[in-house]
Amino acid sequence: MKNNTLIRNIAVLLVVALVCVMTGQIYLKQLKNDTFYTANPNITKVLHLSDYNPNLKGTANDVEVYVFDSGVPGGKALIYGGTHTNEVGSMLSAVTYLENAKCEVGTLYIMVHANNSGYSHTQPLLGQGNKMTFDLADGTTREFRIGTRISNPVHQWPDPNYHLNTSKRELKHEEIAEIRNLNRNHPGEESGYLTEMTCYAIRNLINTENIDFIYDGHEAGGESVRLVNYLVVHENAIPLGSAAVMNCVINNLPFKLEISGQTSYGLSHRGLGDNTNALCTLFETCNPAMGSYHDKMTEDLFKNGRSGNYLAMHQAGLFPNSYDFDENGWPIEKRTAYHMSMSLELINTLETLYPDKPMKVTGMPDANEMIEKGLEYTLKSLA
Amino acid sequence: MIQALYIIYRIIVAVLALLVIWDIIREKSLAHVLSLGLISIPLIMRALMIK
Repeated sequence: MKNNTLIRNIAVLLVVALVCVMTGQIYLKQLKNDTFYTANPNITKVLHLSDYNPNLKGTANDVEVYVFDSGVPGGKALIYGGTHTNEVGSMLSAVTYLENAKCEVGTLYIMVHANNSGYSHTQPLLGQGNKMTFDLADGTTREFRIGTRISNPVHQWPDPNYHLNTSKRELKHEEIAEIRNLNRNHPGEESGYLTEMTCYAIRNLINTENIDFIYDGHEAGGESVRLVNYLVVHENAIPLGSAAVMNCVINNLPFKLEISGQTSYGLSHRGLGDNTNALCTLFETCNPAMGSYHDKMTEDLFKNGRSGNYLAMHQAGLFPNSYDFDENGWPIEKRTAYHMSMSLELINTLETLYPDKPMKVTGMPDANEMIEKGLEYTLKSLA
Repeated sequence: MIQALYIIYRIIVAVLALLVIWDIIREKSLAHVLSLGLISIPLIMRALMIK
């Protein structure tokens, strides 16, 4: 081989190494956990999901569960976001609880990244965003990763060819990747795939701590007419859900109630509702950055939620009997405020229906102020 | 079991990556060298379990 051919080939190898280093850094950064503000003096204990399933110890999904114990006996609620890690409104609502909540009666459990593995990657060819940043008044920046709806194959691999999971959901063909979807594998297995083990830990947390109700926050794409603004409840939670939704409607919030489908196998409201004593609820807001017709993916689309594509489709009447979608879009402040308002209303309503399980949570920011001034106003600085 | 599969997978991918890199050094055609270079990037990333 001639020397100049060898030099040329080595030059190509160096370019390969350079590309690997440059792109690898982006992926490695995505694997690094977000930093949360945990200096809220009202946090009384930090648990981990591995406390409820030791098989999660050392895995990406050994997630922190922040406990706000008032010391006053009462109801117990588990509020969590990050089941699907691109549904950022629910995660930021959980962050708002983590940073501000004070539980005065009963006990509150908060999980911010329920499926932490999902935050470490995005899915190829779907044009997904991977982070959002907020510039705070003191000059510092808060950054949150955006992931995708399923666990990272680096953490859970290989997907089986066929799997009948504990939820009775039969996974096969194109649905097989759902074995990595936290909201398809409830009630989960103690020793199984990572996502199943995470589901088991959540179930065991609910059973061990005798949690009275759970709130699982989600977001849906612009075409999801029967999901956006809906609180989905297990049959057992219909009284709680309907009373809470009614209170929200009285306060001019356009929320509706949906009952969990009998065959919604593996979803939290079905899988946990059937297998625990907790009243299980799930709420959805609209995220225009999701769905098949999303606009060009930018951080602005995630944050300001203004979508020309979905606006045109709604104005053309493609989604009759839908929720409101106008040129103001669905900004992240509104989505976070909706999640916060719905979950707070459930907490407030619990005592009305179950006087032996009172709960009172204070310290949360005003929803209208949050929408008006933005999350930059409510998020705490890490400095 | 799953841990063993991970190790076997990484060994296979690492061997493939090394073979491709060896081919890049020996290959005479520039077009083939560039093709092999493109192929080697995901192989190296997979071997390092970076996704």
